[in-house]
Amino acid sequence: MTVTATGPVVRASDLTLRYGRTLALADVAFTLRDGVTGLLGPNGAGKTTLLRIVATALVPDRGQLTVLGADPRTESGRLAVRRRLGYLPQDPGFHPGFSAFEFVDYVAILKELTNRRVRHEEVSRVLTAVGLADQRGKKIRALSGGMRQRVALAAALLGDPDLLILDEPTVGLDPEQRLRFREVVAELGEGRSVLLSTHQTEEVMALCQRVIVLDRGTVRFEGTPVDLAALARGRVWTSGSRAPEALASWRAGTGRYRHVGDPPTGAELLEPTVEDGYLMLVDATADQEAYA
Amino acid sequence: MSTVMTEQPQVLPDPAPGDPRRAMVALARVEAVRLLRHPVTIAGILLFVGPELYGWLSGGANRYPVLQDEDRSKQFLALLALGGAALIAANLAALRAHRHATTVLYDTFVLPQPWRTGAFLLSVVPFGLLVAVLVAVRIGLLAAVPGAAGRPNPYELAAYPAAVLLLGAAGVLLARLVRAVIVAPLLLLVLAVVTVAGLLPSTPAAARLRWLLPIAMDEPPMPLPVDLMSRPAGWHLAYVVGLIVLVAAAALAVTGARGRRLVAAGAAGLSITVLAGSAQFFPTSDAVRTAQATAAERPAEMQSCQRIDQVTYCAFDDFAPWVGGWDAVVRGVLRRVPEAQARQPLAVRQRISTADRAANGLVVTAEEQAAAAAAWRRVDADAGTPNAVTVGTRWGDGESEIGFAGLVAYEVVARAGGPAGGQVCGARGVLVGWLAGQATPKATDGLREVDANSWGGVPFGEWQFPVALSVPDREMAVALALLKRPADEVAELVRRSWAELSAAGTPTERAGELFGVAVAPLPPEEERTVCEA
Repeated sequence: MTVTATGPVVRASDLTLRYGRTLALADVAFTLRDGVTGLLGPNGAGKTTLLRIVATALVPDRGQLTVLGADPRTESGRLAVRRRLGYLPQDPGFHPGFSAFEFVDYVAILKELTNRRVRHEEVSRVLTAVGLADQRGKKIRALSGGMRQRVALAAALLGDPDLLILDEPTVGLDPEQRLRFREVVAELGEGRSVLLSTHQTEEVMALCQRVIVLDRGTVRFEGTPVDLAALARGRVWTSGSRAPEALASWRAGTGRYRHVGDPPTGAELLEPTVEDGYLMLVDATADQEAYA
Repeated sequence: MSTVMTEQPQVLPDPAPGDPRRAMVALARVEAVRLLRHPVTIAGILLFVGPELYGWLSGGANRYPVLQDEDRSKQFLALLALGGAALIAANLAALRAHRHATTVLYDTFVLPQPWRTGAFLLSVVPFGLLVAVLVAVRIGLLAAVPGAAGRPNPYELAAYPAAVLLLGAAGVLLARLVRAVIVAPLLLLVLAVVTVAGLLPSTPAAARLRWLLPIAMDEPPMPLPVDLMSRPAGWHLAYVVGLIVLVAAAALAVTGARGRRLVAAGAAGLSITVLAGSAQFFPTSDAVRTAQATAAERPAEMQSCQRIDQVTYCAFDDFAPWVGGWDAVVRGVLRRVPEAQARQPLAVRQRISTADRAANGLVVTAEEQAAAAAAWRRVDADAGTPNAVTVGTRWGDGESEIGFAGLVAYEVVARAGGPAGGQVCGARGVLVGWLAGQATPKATDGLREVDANSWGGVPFGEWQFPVALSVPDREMAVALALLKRPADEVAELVRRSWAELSAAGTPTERAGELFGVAVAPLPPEEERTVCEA
């Protein structure tokens, strides 16, 4: 008896891309399933490049990529992906003279939603979904940064996409806006695949079922946030003073120092977080490369 | 029994395939509304409509428009204001994604780039239609004026929206070639300079090159009857249409459009442009040239005459509605002269000039002018309208009314046929100046205007014609003083002393004496004008 399980929404292997002499991605391989997947990595890790490749805005130099069952390297495959894709770039850009409704409506046309009545209903739906129904007539230039980000998210949600790609959507938002945004994304993650690039480890913990860590163009980790945190198990401890031998050491709000690294004998160990695991991973990579 | 778990990539059911054509139309609709609402577009429309509207509302508009001239009279303004608006607004729209850094986002949308470019091109069409409506309304209003003459050329009218479409398409193409907003205004500036420079050709052959521009401006000596027009307006419109197709195809090709239909459109655009562009340079047909010569030399053969009381008016058919206006001036002169003079037959004949002396650098000697005037008199005598007063094909402004009134007054005073550009001095000059100046309120205004802008004397009649006259300043000063008095009072004196005032040898001093007006002393011998008429 053969059982076919729900497979990956995105499957990538050996993805490689160069910008001139700079290697942006090197043999990247990962799979993406339903739910929210976090993409963590330091600045310059290649996150945006990877997202743009999945979003069909860039074509890799080499490697295999299947998105929603289609090959985005072909014209027909690219169109098939784009019809089911919602993409929120890091700096989406806006037309300041457009109202929120006009902007999303414009995007809807570019997504080939041609029936005027249906399109307007859809635009109203997505604006409501991101909590902007009462701001629809306002010019974008008059909206706050958080509201603009929600306008861009609304545009990404047009057509109820099966795959949603969000590139650092909470950058520049205040804590309250970030929290509201997080609520929206959590809701969106139910029943579709969301690939969320972020710097914020707490966002990964709060939202993501899975996490991919990208560093210097290569995938360093793919698993659950709990697995990522577990990488630092036994390597996080606390003491009353700074530990120079630790990878990272800082004074926490409790007044005691928190350290990540190889603990001294008898150290008071702490339960690791996603951030600890990420730190271990990225620093270990740096160490290996420095050693090499 | 064993169970095998396999994992297949998710292949979701294909959503309804999009329709890029419908999406393009939807996008074009949105862009068209934005283009029409753009401040540059609104400013362009106001600039085009404003002066015209002001003229109509203030009563300053010409009530005797020549429709075959009016159809193209605003083409340069339309090119700058409306075409310029289309160029800049379409360019800004096509550059919007670049200007607002939305290209990263837009790159992932379904509608392919060529279709988006198609939408920007289509978005100019409603503006073109609006321009067509504005032009049609304008010419319709002009045609509805009772004094409207002739008929407009549909090709000339179509040149307005065609220029708008061409510049709008050029704006889109520019955006696809250069990502800088400054380029479109620069192009407009260059176009304006080149178009104006086209008016200053060094040779007639160079003058023809102006037909390679979106609009071809020219300054004919004076309006012509429709049947005598030789502008290749139809070919020029075809040439501009070819350019529109060519530019649009180029814009689509630059954004990645390929295919047989695009190649065919490009080839068709190029063919039309080359063929129609070349056809513009075909010489004027012999039939039209013959007709022009006949109209200029023997106009009676192409005119219809109508008689109002003792005055016969002969006009080209297009200009028949102007007879009423001419008659008002004639009546204005005749009502102030003795009844015996007023009852004598008088003829008025419309004439045209097809030789642009200023443009062609022709200098006419006094002898040639006298010979031409004599030839006209012979032709008029043969046509049964001896000593006909000449009237041109411009009417409705003070300058044309006073010019005609002066010639009418001279004929009533001298009964000698059209003078060949001579000075009318003495009491006769005073009489001609006053009779002309009081003929109609517009003639009075025209006289003051011409007097302010002339030196040495006031000319009457169209300068392109061999028939013209002028009254020196000394005589005109007396006439202007008389115009300040009640006309009936002056007319009474005129009737009483008609024989003396109208005699060729009566000096100005005598006229001043009769009217009680001081006359300036004679200038030194070397500064005196030669009185011929």
